[in-house]
Amino acid sequence: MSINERISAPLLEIRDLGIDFHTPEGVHRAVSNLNLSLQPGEVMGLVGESGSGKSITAKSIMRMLPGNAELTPESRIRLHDGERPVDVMGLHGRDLRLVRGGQVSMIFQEPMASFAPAIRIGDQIVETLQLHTGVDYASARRQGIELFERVGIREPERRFDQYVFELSGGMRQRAMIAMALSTRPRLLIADEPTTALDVTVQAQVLELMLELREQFGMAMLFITHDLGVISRIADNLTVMKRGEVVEAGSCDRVLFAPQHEYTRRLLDALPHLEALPPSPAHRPEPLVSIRDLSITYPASGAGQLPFKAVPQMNLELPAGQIIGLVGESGSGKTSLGKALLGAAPVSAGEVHYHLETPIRLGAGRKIKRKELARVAQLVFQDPYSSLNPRMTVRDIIAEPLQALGLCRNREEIDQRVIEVAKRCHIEVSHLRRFPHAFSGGQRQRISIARALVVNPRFLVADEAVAALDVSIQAEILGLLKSLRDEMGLTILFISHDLSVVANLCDHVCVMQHGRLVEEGSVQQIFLQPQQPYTRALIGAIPTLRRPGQMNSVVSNEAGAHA
Amino acid sequence: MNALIARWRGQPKARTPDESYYTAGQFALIRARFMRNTTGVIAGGILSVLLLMGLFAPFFSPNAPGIEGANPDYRRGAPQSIHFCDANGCSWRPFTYTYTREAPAFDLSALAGGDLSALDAITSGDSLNASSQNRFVEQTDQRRYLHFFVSGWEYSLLKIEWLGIDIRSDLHLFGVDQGQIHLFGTDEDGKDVFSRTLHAIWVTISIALVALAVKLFVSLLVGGVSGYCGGRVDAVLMAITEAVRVIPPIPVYLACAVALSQIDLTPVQRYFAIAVVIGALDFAALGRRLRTHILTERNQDYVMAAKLSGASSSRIIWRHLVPSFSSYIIVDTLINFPYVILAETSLSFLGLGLTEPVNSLGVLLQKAQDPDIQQNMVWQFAPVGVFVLLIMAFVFVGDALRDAADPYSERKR
Repeated sequence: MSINERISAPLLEIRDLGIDFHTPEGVHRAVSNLNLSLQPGEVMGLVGESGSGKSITAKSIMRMLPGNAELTPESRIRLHDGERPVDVMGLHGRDLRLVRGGQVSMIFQEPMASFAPAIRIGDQIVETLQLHTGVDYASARRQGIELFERVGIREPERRFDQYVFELSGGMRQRAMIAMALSTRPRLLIADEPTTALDVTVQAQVLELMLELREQFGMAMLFITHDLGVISRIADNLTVMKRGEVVEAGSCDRVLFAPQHEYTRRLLDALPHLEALPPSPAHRPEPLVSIRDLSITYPASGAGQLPFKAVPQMNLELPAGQIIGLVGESGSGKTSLGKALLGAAPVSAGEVHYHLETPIRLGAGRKIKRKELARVAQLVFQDPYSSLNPRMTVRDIIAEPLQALGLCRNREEIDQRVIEVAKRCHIEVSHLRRFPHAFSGGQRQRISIARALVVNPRFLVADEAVAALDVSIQAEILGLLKSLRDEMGLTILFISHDLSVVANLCDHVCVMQHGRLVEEGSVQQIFLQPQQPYTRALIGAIPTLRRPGQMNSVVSNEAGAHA
Repeated sequence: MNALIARWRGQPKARTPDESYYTAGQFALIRARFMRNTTGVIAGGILSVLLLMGLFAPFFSPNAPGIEGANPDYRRGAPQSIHFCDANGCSWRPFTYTYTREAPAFDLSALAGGDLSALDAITSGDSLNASSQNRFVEQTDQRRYLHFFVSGWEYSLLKIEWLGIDIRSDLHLFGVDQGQIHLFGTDEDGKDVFSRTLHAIWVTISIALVALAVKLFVSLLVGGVSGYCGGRVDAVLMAITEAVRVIPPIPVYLACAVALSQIDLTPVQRYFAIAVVIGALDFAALGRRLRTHILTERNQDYVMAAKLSGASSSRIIWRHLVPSFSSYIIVDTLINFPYVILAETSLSFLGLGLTEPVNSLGVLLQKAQDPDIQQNMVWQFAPVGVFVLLIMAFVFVGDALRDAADPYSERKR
């Protein structure tokens, strides 16, 4: 698949692109001196962490920059479509609208937010078709339904007349793709199209995009932070960091002979399934036992049924290990995590903490909140909403101490807070600051420090790194590992990201529809999965393809259908 | 200051660190954002000057506002201007003149002979009508020099009856060496309009304060209970709120005025009672908003974090929930100030609230609708100007504060 060798005028040519943001403080350059060219039919991967300027670059191709952003005068964006090149910079009004959605279409990360919620999906696609091709309603509808079929939406006629909230995440993204393809664009810009999807659905969508590329012969600019995903689909890669291209070249060259240190760091953060740690010889004693646990959320209104998130779960969590709890969204893993902390409605069964003074949680039992808070703590997913913006870092970390009355005086509290802050690599001078001074990764450390300040035995980390960039993820994962090794902490690590779990955990539990599908050491689960669902999950992990391997999305087992 | 704000708006990690910003609390951030709003700062300056002058009205007033400070020799008198120079030379110390009433321009002795045509001439001429009676002549040779920090009429600076505290003073910012000075002129009783206006500001604001305090209390109670408890309690309380909301206020005030007139109260006490009613009936909007705010805020992760840390309900309410809407309450109260003042003035205007001789902006405004004043004593419109200025200042400060209020609303995700 080496389209590079075909000699033709590039479809898209970006020269010396610079984008300035005008802020009250002054001009901030988000992208500088970016060069990029895309041949017809080529798939270009644009890789970088958040804030690297990859999305804003894509938007500038469509001339959809926010009001305070401005292209520098020397920037050139050319589209070579048909006979003569079109200078996107000079387009206005109708000409620009013809390019948008006509020659160039875009797929966004969050399909829910990209469709109008109150208009039927089909009508939105019909609208696009009518605007660009001028066909009548009936034939536009026919074309739209045909597209739905081609992107693999079952019952396309029925789905066509539904609203966006009636479709599942994968369906929505398929519909979005159908809409983007409806005008037969020459260039498709995909901005993190699979990031919000579950791993098996992600594999399906990627496969679909590859297929469609073959069929439609369009070029793709694929923006992602995930090197595993991009390695399966792209011909060429451009790696961006802080608005600058640090490395560009063919996919194989960049992935297997990276030149720049930043690319290597991104690659290191990928899962290496070959190098899994050996599982310990004997299984440690359990710290927490879950027996016949059922979690049922009461009916939210009249006429609604109570929702059983977890029926009859039996599980033992080995002490001193990091236990990964994986599953797709809606599999009940968060409910289970909350039930262990007494924050979910337990309808039957019990949770038993094996401690010097055992704690039992269960249906009908009154939760001894203060006792529980001393041994079990939670680290949240969102490092922004989980810290009260009106309290200083010191007060946030000290809160459990004060709430539980564990310290006699201020000095003792301060001493303990400083101790924990150092442990979590928070500078002591930063304790006076408020959370708004910190980035996501630093905030997550504060969140961990708050959980650790009471010296708990057990920590539930609910998607604790999902909102963070890959390189920051690695720091937090390192911190969690050191807590296990040095403090003997038992951590339940809830994640939908199997590659993170493979890197971090000793023991893995797989959940589906509220039930435990499989559990075992990380090696058992990742190397010898027994259940078909586990195999499908593992197979769908976007690991790096091997050099020279043909583009394909699913690595081992093709049947990624859950 | 601007740089500080900009840094907060951008992504902090890309900027140079600024410790004062990082360690800035909620109110420091609000203040920083407020200071950026020029209109708000100017309005805030005007507002604080007006409030200070209202609070220390006796100090700023050269004359007592009541009938005891009236000037019998200068009834219906025009504003007196202040000069530095005149035909007799200049002076560093500002001065006014002595004013004497023009002698009546008719001769009553002509009536002695029973001459009816003389009587006719007197009555049909304009010498008897009101405008001719407040003709005063400046005696430019008799200067009255202005002195500062003079002692004059005695007033109580601080009076708390039930503690027996009564600090009295007779110091005033300015006064003239002889007679009285009337910057805004006098009314038909000779009361000084300037002094009355200053005193009226404080009466009006204190009534608004009472009304807002009552409103806030009821709103917090209804909204807080509704939001924190949720469920059935919430449904019932909100139904009541909606029911109260549809009652038109003016008939309620009318009924209250009538009912209260049966009780023996001073006019000011009666009016405070009405203010309590105004406040108590006005809780619907704020109460509902507080409820919504608490509903969203209590589902935030940080509240959950506090709960899992073993924090009690009261700790969650006082440490987490109350600070999260304190700025909101302050802003809402400030924005509502002009509306309560307007309610007071409109009631007084309708004759339901305070009446003469009480000094309140509403009373003074009501007076200004008298045709006699509109024709012959336009200076009594001065309180209208002060009123407009006060309302505008409140509105602008409130607006600027609202924009500045939640420094975390625009934070980057």
